[in-house]
Amino acid sequence: MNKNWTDQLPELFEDYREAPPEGLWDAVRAGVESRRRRLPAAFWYAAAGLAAAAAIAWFVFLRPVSPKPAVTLVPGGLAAITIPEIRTELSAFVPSSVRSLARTRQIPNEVLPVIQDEYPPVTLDEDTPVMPGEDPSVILSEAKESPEEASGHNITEESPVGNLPVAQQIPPESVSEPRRTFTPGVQITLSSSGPSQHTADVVNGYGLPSALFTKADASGPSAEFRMVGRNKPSTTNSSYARLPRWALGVNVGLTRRLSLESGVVLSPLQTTLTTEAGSNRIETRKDQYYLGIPLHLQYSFWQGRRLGLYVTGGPMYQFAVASRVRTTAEPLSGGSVQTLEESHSLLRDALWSVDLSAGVQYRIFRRGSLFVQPGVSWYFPRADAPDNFYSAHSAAFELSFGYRLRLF
Amino acid sequence: MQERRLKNSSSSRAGQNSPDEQELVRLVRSKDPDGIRCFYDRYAGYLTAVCSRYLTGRADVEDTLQESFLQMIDHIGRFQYRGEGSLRAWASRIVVNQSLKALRKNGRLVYVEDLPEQEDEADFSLPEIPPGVILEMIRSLPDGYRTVFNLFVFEKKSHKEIAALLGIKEDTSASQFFRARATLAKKIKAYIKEQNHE
Repeated sequence: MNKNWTDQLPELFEDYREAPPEGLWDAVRAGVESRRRRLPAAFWYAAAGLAAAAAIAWFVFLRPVSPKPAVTLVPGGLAAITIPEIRTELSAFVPSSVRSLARTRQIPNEVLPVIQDEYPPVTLDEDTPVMPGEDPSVILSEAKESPEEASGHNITEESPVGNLPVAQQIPPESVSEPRRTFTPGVQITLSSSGPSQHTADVVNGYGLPSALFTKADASGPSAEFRMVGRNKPSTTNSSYARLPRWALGVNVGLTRRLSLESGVVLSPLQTTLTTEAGSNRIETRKDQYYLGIPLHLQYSFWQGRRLGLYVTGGPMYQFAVASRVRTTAEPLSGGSVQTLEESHSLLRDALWSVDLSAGVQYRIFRRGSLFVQPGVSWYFPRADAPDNFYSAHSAAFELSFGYRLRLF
Repeated sequence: MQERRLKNSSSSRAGQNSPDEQELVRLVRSKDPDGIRCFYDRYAGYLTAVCSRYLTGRADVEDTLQESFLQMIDHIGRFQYRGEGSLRAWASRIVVNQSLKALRKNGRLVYVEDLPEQEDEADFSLPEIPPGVILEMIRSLPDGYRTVFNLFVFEKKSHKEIAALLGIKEDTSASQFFRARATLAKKIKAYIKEQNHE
């Protein structure tokens, strides 16, 4: 009795083929091409999102303002200056408020009042905005330290208005309290983050997995190594590295503490597959370059005289812009390393990540600061991810450092 | 910029220098149009046979194969080469998974138990029967029988694994398999008998 006749079935069907349904290839081809179009679409969505965010930020905070302030006289002979574009009335010359004044505009000489001696002549010029996290009093105190740097008119006793009565002569109800105001600034950031290296898998198997990228029909050393290495016990080491990445960003202040940062980030990745089989070692090195567009919110939670602490985080869209695959072979018995194949064709890929960092910033010049920023990045897993650092790690630590230059 | 499009005709690398599986993986991974066409040409026939063992409707087979090929092309980065034949085995697993998904989606997996379980003595020789005939016999089995039978015989799954995969009891899997085998044995005998009369 042949109870195990079903065991013969797999062998019977080993080479059995059926005609594929008509139109299957057309359907597959259409599917592949429609999925291929997704990458640029995602890129344009990201770009459109960035552009929209930038436009909103510009409209709300950076749109052009009228250069001419309206001047009105208030009882007691003091001038009040209204700057309509920021919808804030600045009663600039109430002495007790000088230290909390975030910003003043250039004031025509003819309306300048006199300030008592106990309130030293201090002014902030147009070029000294309050950046997110900066304390206006710190800027004021620095302005005191270097009065020669201040531009515009100082409020001095030499004012043509003469010695007028001081603030206490003004009925309180007629002078509006100065409010803290904020002028958004823009910073340029240049930063780099350290390398991250990871030796991932050691796989024992057969054949030369590192020859994956060599052409089967290649002649010469490639074919020779493939023949020698095929079906031999092998050990394969996979190594994934992200080399130092470089970033250039623009940071636009939204409020005193909050700012929006975007720009470009170039991330070089390196994947190395080394296989030893028989008497050969074959190595495939894949270099990929990703260009990233981050959209990060930065919150400054403490700001001292020079030192500042902040956190920053948000999404980043990255896409591959260049790649190179190089396969080399080396006989273990000795002999020179031979390049089997080298290709520069782009291995297309795109991914999203979420970054979260904490930073320490130290102002070394009036407009320039150095910063160190440790953080973590989490890469969204993808089904079609190529074998590289991003697919080997769902999260990675990074340490960034750089220089921020405040433009205005 | 000239767009690289997948070729419509069957003239591809498949008919010229046929690459081995490793090379094919590299080509598909880099979304090379010729490579994708070559991959399709090489495995479409085999995978159609695999899919046809699970699904009976021609439209279901086509839909499932289309989705399977797209999954393979998208997920080729996950494939790890483990020797010649591993790519075909990997592709076959994807087709099986997609076929099971289609069966579940259509609510076809009903496990009937109204057919005889007793199997007669199997005194036939399988190699004498064309595979196409056996395939048709398998396809004529009820969906539940057929699915369990295919998973057990062709995918080498244990009843425990089948039970976990289909969300049924281990005993149900075993009984479905024995009923499927008994039914199939009867059909094979009937076929042989018919052939002998002719």
